Amino acid sequence: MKKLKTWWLLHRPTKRRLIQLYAALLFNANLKGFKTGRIYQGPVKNICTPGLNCYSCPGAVGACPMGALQNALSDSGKTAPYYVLGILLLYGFLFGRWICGFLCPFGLVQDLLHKIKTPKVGKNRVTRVLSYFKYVVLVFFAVIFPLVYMGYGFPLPGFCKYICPAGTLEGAVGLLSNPENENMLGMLGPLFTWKFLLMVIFLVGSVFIYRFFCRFFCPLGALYGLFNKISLIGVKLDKGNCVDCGLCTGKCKMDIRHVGDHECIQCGECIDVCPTKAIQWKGPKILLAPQAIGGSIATKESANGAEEANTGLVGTPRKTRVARAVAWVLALALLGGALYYFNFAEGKDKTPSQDTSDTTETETSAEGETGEPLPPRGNGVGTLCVNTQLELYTGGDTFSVDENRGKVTVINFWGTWCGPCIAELPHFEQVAKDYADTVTVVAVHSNYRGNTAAEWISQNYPDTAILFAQDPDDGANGAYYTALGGEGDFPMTFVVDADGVLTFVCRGSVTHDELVAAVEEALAK
Amino acid sequence: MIYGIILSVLILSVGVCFALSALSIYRSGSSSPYTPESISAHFSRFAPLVYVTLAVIVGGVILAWTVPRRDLVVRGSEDDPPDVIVERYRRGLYRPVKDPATVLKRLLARIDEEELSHACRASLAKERRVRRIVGISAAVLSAGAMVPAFVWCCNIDHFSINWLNEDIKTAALFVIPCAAVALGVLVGSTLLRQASVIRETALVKAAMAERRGKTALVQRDTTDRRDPMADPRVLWGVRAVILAVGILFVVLGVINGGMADVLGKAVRICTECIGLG
Repeated sequence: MKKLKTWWLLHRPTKRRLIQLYAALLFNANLKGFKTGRIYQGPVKNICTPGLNCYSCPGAVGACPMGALQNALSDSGKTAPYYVLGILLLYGFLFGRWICGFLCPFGLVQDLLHKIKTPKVGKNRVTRVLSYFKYVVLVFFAVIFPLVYMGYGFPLPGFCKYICPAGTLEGAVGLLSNPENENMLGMLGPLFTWKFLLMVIFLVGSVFIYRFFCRFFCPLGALYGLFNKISLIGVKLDKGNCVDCGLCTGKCKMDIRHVGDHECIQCGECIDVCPTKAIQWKGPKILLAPQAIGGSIATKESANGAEEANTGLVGTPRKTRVARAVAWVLALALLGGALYYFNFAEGKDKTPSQDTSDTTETETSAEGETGEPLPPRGNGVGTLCVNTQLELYTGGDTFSVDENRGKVTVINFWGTWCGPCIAELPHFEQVAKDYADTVTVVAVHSNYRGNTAAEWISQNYPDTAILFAQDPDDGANGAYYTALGGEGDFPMTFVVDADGVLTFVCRGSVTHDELVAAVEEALAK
Repeated sequence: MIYGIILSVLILSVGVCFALSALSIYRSGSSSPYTPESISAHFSRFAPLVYVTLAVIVGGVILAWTVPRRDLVVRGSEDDPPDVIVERYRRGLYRPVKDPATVLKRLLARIDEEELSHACRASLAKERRVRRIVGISAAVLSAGAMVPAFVWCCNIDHFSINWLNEDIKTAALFVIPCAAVALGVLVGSTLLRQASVIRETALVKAAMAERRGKTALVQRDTTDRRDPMADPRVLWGVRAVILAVGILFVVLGVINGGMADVLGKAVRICTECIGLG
């Protein structure tokens, strides 16, 4: 029994690891998303999680602060990005880079990979300098590129799109690994290949280099590091007691020059090694007893030479132990409540339903233009396209596919908040002009803020051949989009032939050639 | 050690296989290269390697759990004097890293420079001048190296929606060399300054040895008075300002619809924004 207890005390997970696992589970509590392949679309996503946790992860219950920052900067011409900046300021003020050490799910992934027993590349003066590269990533990819493209009215989250491995691992791989999303594979191309390669490099690098991504590339860590000195929670160095023995910097695997600087992820592992107890926690001690944080345990040799494990709790006041227990119970209650709320509570599932709108017609029509019986209504190729009345921004009052029988209809679902959607609109404009007599192009906007699309359209497409329409709001992605099988990913394109039968469905961006080919195929039928 | 090397080779091999498979699929020439069949065909080729690697990792974990650890020293008893604790750690994995600048600062705190010889003081001043010049030059050069990147990226004409990925690639190819030059300058200056600190440390130690017994040791206050955050009033003042601004921004963001924007973006997948493209 004693051996078992000793084994457990030697190998038990540290409190820091438990907090990391807790945070990763709490921020990805929508576990049913992994089963259904759908992301959570409820109101909790108003809130940004503190760490790097991609919003497109099926389990994610909050928005990513870096993604939110880039999108806010992209939209800063119309809406000042107060909310995201305020959230980042509050997180920085409260936690600083303690978030990196305790709350970031991708940091946890790197920590676990680094535990694999391989030779490691240590830190040195050069890695210290290279750690400044993450500021280059922050400034250029996360700030400048979104601001530059704001001038075009084109949202471009540069870091998310071209670099972020958390988005690739949690979002792309997380979604694609579900068989429900097999049809998303068709949209993969050079961008995914690039990001997949980067993800492999970061993950393999993390095995050999501690926190490879965090140290050299993470813009969120770069931002939070600026708050380390003023954050309420973290480690602090009592310079009066410090004897400059250098053991703290020796133990630390980050590129710190001294404890608590902008490279410090406030993990607290240096607290154990300080011989003069000059390093202390700034935050509440009820959860974070310094002795138990770093993973090393106090051992003492007993009289017979056998080692006994000391829990490190000897001497902790009873009041502290009780408060600590209460805090853990509350934390577990929060986690349990979150798991129940996101996975079992009714009314929170935003799974698309075919019957979301009274105006959406799903009954079968009798015959087509050629007199042949038409297939049943649906949202797949070969089915009769689901019909609904759409209110137009341009070109008239309303539009419906059934009323457009006799002409080919191209339906594109887009949004002003979606850069790739905006990038492909010129293709639809060109097709609308080239096939004006035989094809009607309808761009259906999925929006969450009323009049944004009207203003954007009048500024960017004043004399357009496209019919811009607004998807009726169903509180999720749009009623018509949902009825046509949309699952939250944009853009989406449908081509409907003259009989109203779907001939082409494309998830993701479509090239001009692909669009023309689909239109030609529909015209030929 | 052998286990670590074998595992390193396996992990690197798996990483290379994943990367090459993704490239191979992409270069297959099809307009939609990623299909369940192509992915299965490519990745199944090195699946045995992945299984072997996972087995080796799991085996290592089981061994680590069952074989007693020798590296987990190690605080000793609460009553042990610090030098004993330090000595325990020195026998362990953690080699103390003493910042040469800190070592020098401590040494300088123990002497009165006025009592050093003129030649010694001149040498110390020269080293400090060298460090100042190197530091300022490095700062100017590295900032200067990034200016072209800034200027280039702030020119909206270099970016277009029609050639988005190509434009971003061009921008990155412009930014990364500038960043490499800046970082190279900083690395060089760090090494030069460190060498200068080491030379100055040697000079101070030589001077101390020369004057041993002739000069009383002077213990100066070595706290960094240049750090404004060391003053609690400044620290709490800054904290109060940031807290107030943060709360104000959040409230303003809720009012002007910024929070709704965050929600709207977070519940819709812009596929290319997460790398699906």
